[in-house]
Amino acid sequence: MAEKLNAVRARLRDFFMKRINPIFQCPYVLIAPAVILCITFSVIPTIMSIRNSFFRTDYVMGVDKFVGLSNYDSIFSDPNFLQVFGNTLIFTAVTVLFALPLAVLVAVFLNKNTAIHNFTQSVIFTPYIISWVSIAALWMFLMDPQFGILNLVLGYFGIEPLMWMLSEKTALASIIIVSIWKSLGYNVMIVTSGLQSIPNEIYEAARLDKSNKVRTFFKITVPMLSPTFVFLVTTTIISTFSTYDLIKLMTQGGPRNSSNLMVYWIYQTGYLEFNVGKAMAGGVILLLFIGVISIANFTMMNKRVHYK
Amino acid sequence: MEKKKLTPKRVVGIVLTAVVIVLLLVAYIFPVFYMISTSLKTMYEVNLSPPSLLPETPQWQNYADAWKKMDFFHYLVNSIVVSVCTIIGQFFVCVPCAYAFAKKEFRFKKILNGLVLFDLIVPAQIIFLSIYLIESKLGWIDTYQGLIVPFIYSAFSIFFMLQTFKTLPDDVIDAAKLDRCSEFQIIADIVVPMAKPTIITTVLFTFVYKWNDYFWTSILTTTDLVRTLPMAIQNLMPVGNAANEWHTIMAGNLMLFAPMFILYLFAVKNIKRMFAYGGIK
Repeated sequence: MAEKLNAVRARLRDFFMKRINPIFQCPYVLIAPAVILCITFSVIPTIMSIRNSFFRTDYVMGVDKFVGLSNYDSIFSDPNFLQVFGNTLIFTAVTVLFALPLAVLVAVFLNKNTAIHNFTQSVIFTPYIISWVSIAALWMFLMDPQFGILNLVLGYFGIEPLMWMLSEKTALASIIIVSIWKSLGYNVMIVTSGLQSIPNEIYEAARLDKSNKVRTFFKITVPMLSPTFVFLVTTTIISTFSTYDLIKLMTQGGPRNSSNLMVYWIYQTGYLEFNVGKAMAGGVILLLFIGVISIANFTMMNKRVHYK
Repeated sequence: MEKKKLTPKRVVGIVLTAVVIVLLLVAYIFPVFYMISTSLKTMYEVNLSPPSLLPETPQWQNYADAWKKMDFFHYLVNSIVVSVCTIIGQFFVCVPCAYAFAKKEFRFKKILNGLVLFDLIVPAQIIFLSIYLIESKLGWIDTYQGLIVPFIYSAFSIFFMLQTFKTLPDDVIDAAKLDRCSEFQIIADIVVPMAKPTIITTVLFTFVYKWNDYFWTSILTTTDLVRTLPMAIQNLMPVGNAANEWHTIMAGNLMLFAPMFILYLFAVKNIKRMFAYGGIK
């Protein structure tokens, strides 16, 4: 009985090795599923976005007509779009100019291997792995104009209570604060790993040359960190350009468009108002922007950035 | 090493560091503490002005209320189905793909490799409208496959595994081939065990990403049928200026938050490592 079973098993194995295994030895078979999925859900959508930005498409009426650049015309003459575009640039600029230096500062202070330093690092990293929904709910509560604790704290410092995301003036700022709060721990971690990769001998040499701390920081730490900066700037820009969750959850772009950002605008225009061509034109402009920034960053990285 | 003297300069340094640490801890621990305290308050206490720090008596039934109100179990099942299926799918699609690019030579390898890493350059959020249109043509809106299949392919997972697979020694794989090991056995018995830390890291990353995902769930679903937990919290959230039951929202929020937090406690190092690479997404 056992012998028979073994014989069957051996024959099965033989069949498998001869007929089926060669198929999977072919590298194209191994990569095929990934390639097919990539084409269906990344390449084709990108091409579709570009194509549809030159078309007027109406799925209800069955219209699909080439209209040249008229979608682009219509977004650039739309004050709403221009405001959204401006908001996105402000959001990006403030985040890059404020959040990254803050991260460097915190990282320099926390760059010591003691329990309390590591604990603090882990604590500030935590929000990064929490869903935007939790973060938004928590901050909407903290920023509640009537019952929120933030206004109470401001009151102690003699500052008038703010309307936070309910006022045109502070809505975008509220979004920026929450977004910086969430990503600080991540940025600090990246800067810390950059700091730790700087060889100690360089600092020793600087010390022997009697360089002071500030000078050492600007002449050694900053240049040696430049690859880290490039990485952080690129990822920050890409993530600020694709911010959606916070806007949708906290302000829906309002009040009066004051906190609306590009991806949410695409959602409003294409998904809620069915103006697909116009939304896609906005998307293509965003794509171009991200492309230009990636390329610019890449060339900068090759030219100026310090390598070991 | 000699012990450094406490010069005034060093004292200033220590004080400054202490101030920074205290400020950071307050800014990050206080909101969470306040969230926990609110989740145990009564409706009356929540709407007190100025608010109290701690509830008079902890209202544990807030959690049961939130559970019922959110229909927590329904969304929990969806969250588990979507994230587990995505992880399994990614395993079968991305591991062989990364293995082929790392260890095999074939024509058009460079072009195909560039193609597979396409997602790293074009953030999917920007082309979501086209993905939505494709899914509605396929009839995948409001289905599990709609939330799973597009995410089985992940440029990041492939990229991350590819880097590790490249460092595996060729001799072991060649020896296995001489021993008449099938391609399946090479992947399952040699490549995967040798790259175990990377595989675990990728699985964790995908899990965190899918568990937290709000964007795609909100785009690719129109009813509650297959929606995941983040959507349940959103359903609780206030619209405009309405009177809010913050205690219920915070209780629900903590229930969404808890699994990630426990995972984080157990795998801080792994999670930090994967995000160091994953920043691209």
